[in-house]
Amino acid sequence: MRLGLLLMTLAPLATAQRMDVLPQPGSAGDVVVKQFEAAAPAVGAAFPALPIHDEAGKPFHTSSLKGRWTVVVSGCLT
Amino acid sequence: METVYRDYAKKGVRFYYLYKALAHPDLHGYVGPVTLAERVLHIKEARRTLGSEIPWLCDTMANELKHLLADAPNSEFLLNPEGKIVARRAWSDPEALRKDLEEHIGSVDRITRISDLNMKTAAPPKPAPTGVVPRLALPERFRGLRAEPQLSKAEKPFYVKLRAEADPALLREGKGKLYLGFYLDPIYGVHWNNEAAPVSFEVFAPEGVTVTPAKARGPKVEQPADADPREFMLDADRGTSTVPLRVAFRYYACTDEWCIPLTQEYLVHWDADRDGGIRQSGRPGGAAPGAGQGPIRLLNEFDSFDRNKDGKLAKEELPPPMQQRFPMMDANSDGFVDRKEAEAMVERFRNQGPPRKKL
Repeated sequence: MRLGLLLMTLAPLATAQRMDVLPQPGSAGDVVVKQFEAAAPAVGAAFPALPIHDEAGKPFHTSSLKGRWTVVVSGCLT
Repeated sequence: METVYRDYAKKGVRFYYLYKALAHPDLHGYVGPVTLAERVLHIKEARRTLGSEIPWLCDTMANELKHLLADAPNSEFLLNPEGKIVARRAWSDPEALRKDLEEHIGSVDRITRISDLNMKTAAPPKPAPTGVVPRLALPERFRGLRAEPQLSKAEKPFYVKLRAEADPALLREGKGKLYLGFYLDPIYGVHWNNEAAPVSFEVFAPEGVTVTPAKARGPKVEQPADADPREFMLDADRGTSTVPLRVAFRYYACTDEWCIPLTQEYLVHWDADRDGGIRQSGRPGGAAPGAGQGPIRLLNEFDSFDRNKDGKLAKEELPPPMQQRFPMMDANSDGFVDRKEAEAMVERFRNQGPPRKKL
């Protein structure tokens, strides 16, 4: 019961703190987050399988990412 | 991300950056590659400038994987050995990723800090002076159009890339402003030769479409060479046409060793480019807040970010895009960015340019 009360007390604080750092509604960052949450493959889903390239431009299939824990981070020069 | 990589690669976790369309074309002068070979050069450039050891994957030129991952420019996915997604984030967050890995793989004996790394970063190329030709200021509401280089007609690389943008009225109602910007591609180390004839373009509009002016020359510039884009603002009336414009661009592509005259063509389609990114330059009042201006914004808005007024910034006091770079800002790894560290970031930005990728 005490733990429950504590969580109820802390939850609004945690939410308020998080709201401070979320992108402004309607900002480009906000649009990115909403689009991502709505359309990106969900937790538990398979990572998309398709042929792409390695960094030398040679064929690479994303299905080969199976077999080990893997981190994929999108990026570019800018 | 590099510190997480150093700690968990040795535990068998694979890390990849996925190279896809540029998020902010024109930042540091970089422009979108039009061939796979150019995208591979971009990856080499990213390796050179970032000093990261993390290997890259390269999306298809149609950015198919980017689209399947919902287009976020700096998303992050953790996959288990079955290839299933265990965690996902719209904005990469190395500290949150580390917690994920601690949960699934286990903790490391000693956490690597940025200060432990000897990352050799490098400045972007600057083959000629910039700031010579004044830039056009575009309203933020302009949308990038799909500009398709006519590669089959080209014997030489596209040393210059076209960025076309339209105001919303042009896309919505068929009449409005059309922006054509011709950008030198720094991966080729080329510059304009201002001792030769100025650049020129010509638009070949389909029947029922008018573009004014349909052709024009770039400015005559006193300095013998520069690397500023050549920009033009046109009036366009396309009515209901969906037939693309053909744009021919004449220029001299020059390095310090060679100089060749070229005419190259693009088709400009009347639809917004999903992979066009957000141009950082040429906005009213200067560049938009974003990757390139992060350090300057950090310093300018230091006091407003500092909500608890303790004279230093905790990670949670910063907007999410800046949070991603917190480990790079926090030079002494004490968990805070103080004003000296912010000033040092700005100094580095001014001398070398900021980090080219959201690490």
